[in-house]
Amino acid sequence: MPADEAGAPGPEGVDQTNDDLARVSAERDDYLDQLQRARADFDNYRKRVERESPMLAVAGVRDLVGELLPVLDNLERALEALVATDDEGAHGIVAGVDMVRQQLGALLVGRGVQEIPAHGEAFDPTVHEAVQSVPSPDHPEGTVVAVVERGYRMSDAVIRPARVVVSQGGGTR
Amino acid sequence: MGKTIGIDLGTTNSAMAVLTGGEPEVIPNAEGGRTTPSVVAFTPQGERLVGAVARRQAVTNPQNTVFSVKRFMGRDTNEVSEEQTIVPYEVVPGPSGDVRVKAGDKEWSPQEISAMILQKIKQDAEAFLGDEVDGAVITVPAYFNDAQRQATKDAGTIAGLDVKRIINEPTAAALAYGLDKENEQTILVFDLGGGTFDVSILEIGDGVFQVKSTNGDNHLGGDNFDKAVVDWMVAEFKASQGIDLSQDAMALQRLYEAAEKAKIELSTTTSAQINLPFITADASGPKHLDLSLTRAKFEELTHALLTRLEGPTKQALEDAGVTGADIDHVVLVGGMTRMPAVQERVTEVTGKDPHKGVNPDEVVAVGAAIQAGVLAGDVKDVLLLDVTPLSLGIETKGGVFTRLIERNTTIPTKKSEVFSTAEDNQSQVEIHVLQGEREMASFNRTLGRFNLTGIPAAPSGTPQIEVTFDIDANGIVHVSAKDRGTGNEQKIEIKSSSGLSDDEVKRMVDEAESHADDDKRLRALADARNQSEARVNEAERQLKDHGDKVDEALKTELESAIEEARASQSGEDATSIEAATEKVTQALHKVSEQVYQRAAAEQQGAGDAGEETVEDADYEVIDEDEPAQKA
Repeated sequence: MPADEAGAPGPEGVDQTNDDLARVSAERDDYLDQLQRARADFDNYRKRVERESPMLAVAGVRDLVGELLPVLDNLERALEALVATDDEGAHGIVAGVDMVRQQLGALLVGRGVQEIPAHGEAFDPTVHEAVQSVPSPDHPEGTVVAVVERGYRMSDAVIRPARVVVSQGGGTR
Repeated sequence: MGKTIGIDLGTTNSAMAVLTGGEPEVIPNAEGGRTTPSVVAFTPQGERLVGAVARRQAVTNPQNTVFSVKRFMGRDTNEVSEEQTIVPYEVVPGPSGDVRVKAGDKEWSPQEISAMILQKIKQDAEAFLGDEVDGAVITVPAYFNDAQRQATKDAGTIAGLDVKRIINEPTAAALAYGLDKENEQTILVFDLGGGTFDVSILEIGDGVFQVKSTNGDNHLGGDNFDKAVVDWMVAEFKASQGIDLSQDAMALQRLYEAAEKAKIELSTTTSAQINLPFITADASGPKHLDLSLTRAKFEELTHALLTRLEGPTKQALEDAGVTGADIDHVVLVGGMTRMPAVQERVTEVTGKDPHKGVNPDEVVAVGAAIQAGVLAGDVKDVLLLDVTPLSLGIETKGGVFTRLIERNTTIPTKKSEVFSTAEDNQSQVEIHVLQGEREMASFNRTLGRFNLTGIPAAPSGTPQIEVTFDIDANGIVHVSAKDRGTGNEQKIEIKSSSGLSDDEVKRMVDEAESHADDDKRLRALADARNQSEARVNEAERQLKDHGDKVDEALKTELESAIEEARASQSGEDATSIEAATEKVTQALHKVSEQVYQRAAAEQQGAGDAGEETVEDADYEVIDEDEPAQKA
């Protein structure tokens, strides 16, 4: 019999020790669980940050491009208005403004911005936004018949969907 | 086991958030949006679309594009006769009189449609988190009855989510601000979204929220405010140009976008410029819309809408049996509550400033995520992670305070940096441990100091002394300094680093801010002096070693530059010290060049030339060395 242990624990002492052991074991499990959760959270967070950091750099450019697009739209509106005039003297201005538009367009292309093809294409809501649906005997149903506002993408991300008018197909039927 | 997320399943938009490491975080959808339109569409090709994509094709496919399905959740057809007429899709009675939506040649229960939205949310969350999502806390309006709550829960189950709890939207908003930790409080939650307005009065006691009353207006929201601005623009344009833009669909679209932009701008500025060139044209040529909208004018335009906020708010207070003075907290939900005039209306009634800080568009999802965290056990037992309230560091040459651990760093944490000696043959360094935000050591609080002795004789900048700060979870700071050459180590333990009250910490931070300019000047001065001393030492070494190998004129030039630099060091102007240092540098370059040329000419040996190059490189290193340790 190991009765010579310090303090000579009776049965209560053993119970006490067992209780302590159970409590400490539970605590240990709890702490291990928390540690594992924290580690896992952190690990997943780290992976996500790694995944996101190149995307964040692109997102900054994308935001700026998105804000520049209305300026490009307005340049195009200016050109349309100029072309519509009969004024002889406007020709030189048309050519000049068109050069400005091309300059801005080239800058955007250089940044990887592409216009989303729309006119005559099959309507695709992942890149087009329908603003109107019209009967059109000349076009099959679901064809883009007019572009109200050009759409642009950068790599795979749509910066702005093209605003389009979509054909309902065969006229009055 | 997967993650549990919080979902704000809204009438027009939904949002989701998750608790990561105890902190709530909004999860963007696959398209990058922080909210997802609550729209589901069935295309003629038999495809199912959810979110922004579904919304974009709505006009081509109105009968099969389902939005606002939340208005039908858990309702019978006879309860929704009004809503039914508003939506373009067909609403039919189901077997037990419940609502069915007919779309894509099938009849769907609102639960199934909502489940499709939840499924997209689940998938996008999983892609974002890189982890399985199997649980959710979903929010519903406080006025939802049992059938509506059950329907919402069923939607979650259909989507493959274990719905841990359905909670009220205002409760979630209050949770986002941690108001559950308070006791016996009355909270007013003011929710003005895109199309609906809800006021709720909550009471909290023992961590349990109770909804005392709700009121609102189902058809009042941000869209009405946009329309008020558009109407004004149309009227202004008609008055000045005589053209009615309200008949031009393309122009109207641009007007609505511009109105929303101006509205958002006016939350932070007092005037917004509305600029729409080539908005239309007539026989005389193109027309432009160019208007300035002041905040005062905007408030005037929306006066009737703002007034409509008061009735429901007062009614909610009355129904709850409280007055404005009884309200302890005001929580704002919905983007429209960013408008200062809206906040003023709330403050007028309650006399309380609303809580701020959480994005009102996301506050419900954030609160749901917190609840999800509590239920998943992430919050209940989370170890409270502390931060160091002030920066910790040591004093370096010239009385400069060099930070090793920045303030607000989460502890426990550990950081090491290597320092060196400031003088030749320096045999000991003093490690002066400080806490504070000022640039100069003397303005910060001393925590302790000790010496590391027995450093073998060496030129300044050569010994490598590694200083390590280690703060444990209890805020006890262990600082050690180790000579990498000899392995000698000294350390100190500081227990009192967290013995500062919040007020003291605040005072120290404020002081640092108010002295920032002075401190910057002193720091620049110390840096310039250190640089100058290092350069002068180097120059003197060169003179001693190679002084006989250069022209007398050059030697004199360097000597006088050194003289000048020395004199400048006692001055108080960093720029003139730097200028004098630069002169020494220039002279040194010339000396090095001549020494190198002569050595090459004399010996024509690549070996010696190489040696000189090494020395030159060495000199560059010293130039950029860490601030040396004060003796």
